[in-house]
Amino acid sequence: MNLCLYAPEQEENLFIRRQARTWRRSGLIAEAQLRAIDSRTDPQVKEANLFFRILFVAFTLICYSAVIGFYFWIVEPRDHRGVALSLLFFAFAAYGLAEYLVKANHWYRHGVEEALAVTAMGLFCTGMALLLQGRGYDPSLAVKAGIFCAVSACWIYLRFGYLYAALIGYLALCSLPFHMNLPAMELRINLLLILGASLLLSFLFYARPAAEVFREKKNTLIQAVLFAGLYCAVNLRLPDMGRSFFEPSPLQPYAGFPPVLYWTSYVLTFFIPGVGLFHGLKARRRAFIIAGAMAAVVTLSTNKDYLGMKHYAWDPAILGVALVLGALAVIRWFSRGEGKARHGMTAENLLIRENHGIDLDALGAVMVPGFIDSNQPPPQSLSPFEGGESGGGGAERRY
Amino acid sequence: MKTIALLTDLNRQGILTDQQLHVLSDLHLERRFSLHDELRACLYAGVLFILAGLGFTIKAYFAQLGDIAVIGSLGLCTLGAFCYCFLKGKAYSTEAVAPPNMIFDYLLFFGCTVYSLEIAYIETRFQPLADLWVHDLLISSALFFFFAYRFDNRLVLSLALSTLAAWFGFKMSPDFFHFQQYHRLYAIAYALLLFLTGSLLYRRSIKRHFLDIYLNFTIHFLFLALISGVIQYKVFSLYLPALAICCAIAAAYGLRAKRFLYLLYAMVYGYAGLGIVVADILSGEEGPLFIYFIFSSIGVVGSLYVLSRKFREES
Repeated sequence: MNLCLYAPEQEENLFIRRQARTWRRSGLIAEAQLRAIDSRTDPQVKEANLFFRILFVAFTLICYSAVIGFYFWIVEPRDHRGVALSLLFFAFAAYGLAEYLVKANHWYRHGVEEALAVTAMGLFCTGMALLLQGRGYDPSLAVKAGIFCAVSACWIYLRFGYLYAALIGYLALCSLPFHMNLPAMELRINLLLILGASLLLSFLFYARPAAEVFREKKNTLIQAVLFAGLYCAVNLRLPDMGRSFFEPSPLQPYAGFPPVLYWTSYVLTFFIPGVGLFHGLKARRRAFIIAGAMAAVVTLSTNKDYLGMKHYAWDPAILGVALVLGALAVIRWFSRGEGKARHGMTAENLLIRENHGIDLDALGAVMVPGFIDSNQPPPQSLSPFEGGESGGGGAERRY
Repeated sequence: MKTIALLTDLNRQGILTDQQLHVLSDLHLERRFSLHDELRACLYAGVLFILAGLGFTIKAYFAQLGDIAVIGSLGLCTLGAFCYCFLKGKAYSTEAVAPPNMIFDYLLFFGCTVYSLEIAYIETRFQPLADLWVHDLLISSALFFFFAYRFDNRLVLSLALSTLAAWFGFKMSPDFFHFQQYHRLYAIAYALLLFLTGSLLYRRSIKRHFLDIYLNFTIHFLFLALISGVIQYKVFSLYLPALAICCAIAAAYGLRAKRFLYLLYAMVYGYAGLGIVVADILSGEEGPLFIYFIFSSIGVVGSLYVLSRKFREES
């Protein structure tokens, strides 16, 4: 049963068109060939450019928030029940409008309908939570709100196909154990159960390759995020990552867990990234490769915390050297293969990405002068005995 | 596998050649799979980690290491990186030049940042230029510009522009957003200088692909300066009309060149500037303010809709 507002053929056609544009950019097909592909893949929906989409989302959110603000300014509901019912009304109105706009205008990721659908989700959760709230404080309220959020996000994902709605849903689901006042161990176990079950179900459900490529890409992305979440739940030293580097205070022994669990988790922090990388490379799933590589970097960063070893200032440099050497070794290995490839994989750039006018690499470079400025030693003292650098005195006054 | 069926059909009709069918099928079925971006990200992250480690080590252990060891090792790293780039780098061209290998761009970037680290260390420890130390930044910036153009490196150009911004008195910090009159005028001067340089080089067809970096720096510095002026003086200043004119220019350029990022900047900064003025005029009047936001955002969405439809029809 397809609950989605868009037919699978429509989304598949959009996927093929995007793919064809990448081929054109990369010089693999000519303009006439692109037009031939376009003429055979009419998706019959209207998609907005990325930046128009961002603007549509932003200004629709401003507009709808102002409408709600204006309503509350006029009506001034007296109690929380009135507020809840008003929010629910606005939630259903926003949802109805979003569905209407998609059906009437054939919009696909246009921005306006996205903002309305996501607003509806937020308003529905808040409204329902307020409605269920009694006069006194109800500790289960956050859990109920989390469940409503997960359910409504799941519905938005199934209906509109927004990937981020699925991720919001999983995030809401994973937030549930945090609202239950559970001890640390039970919290972790609950998190692992939720994430593990979701991942397992997802793998079982999509065991056979999907008929449409776009669906398979979407499933892979969700699975990779769940996989990354699973890793975060397993790594017991993740909350301390970086803290012991900047603060020399000792870490809690075994992170407050029984030693058996602690060492099992230590082994798993190496095993999970390995599995992610292996699966990603074997099944050609880019999202898993990225998730596995990032998990591997985190594992190396938390390794000393696990073993109770002291951090040194040069630890990041060693990690950096390992990353550079590892990458260079892989590049060299690929370049020595037949046609600069091994097992169908290559380090060559096969497809050129779309240039949106903003460069994330270059943005990172902007931060460097600030980092250099903040990591300088104090000025040299005029006298070698001033300022405590002479090795014994540490006197504040001049000798 | 609709894509494969479509490609086969196009091949049968003579629209795609056999070789194209083979290549595109391989790419689609991921029989040929590139790890280019992932490996580049790994190299970049590695270089950033090394720089972080160097920075932390120098700060924590400069006393034990001694000035000569610090300066000597940083100097060797810089020299090594620059020598490699001059030995391996391709000849200069005004067009885009692909790097000879994947590490090349990051090694040049590494050399430049280690050079910055060394100069900053010398200046902080010994103050050889005393009050004129800030001009080190100008010299470094000029050197980075040279490297960026010589080796066609966008990372180093970004570093050059941010070092120049530091010479003008700016650095990434929360204070950046609290402009004083002095800073504001300098930000405007910096933005205009960058705009003129970028446009001139573009018109002369020298590394035209660098224009986006110049424009991104220009827009953020200029618009933030103008918005800070609007926040301080509200409607009674030249900042508001200047902001309106700059937004109009950015939007017009974005639409003409189909670079919609600049349209986004113009809309966001323009709407923020206008919102500040209207909120000031209607201070304390919540109802009219809500009405303003409702109608203004509907107006923006409506005009964007017309524009997006026009561009969709054109494409």
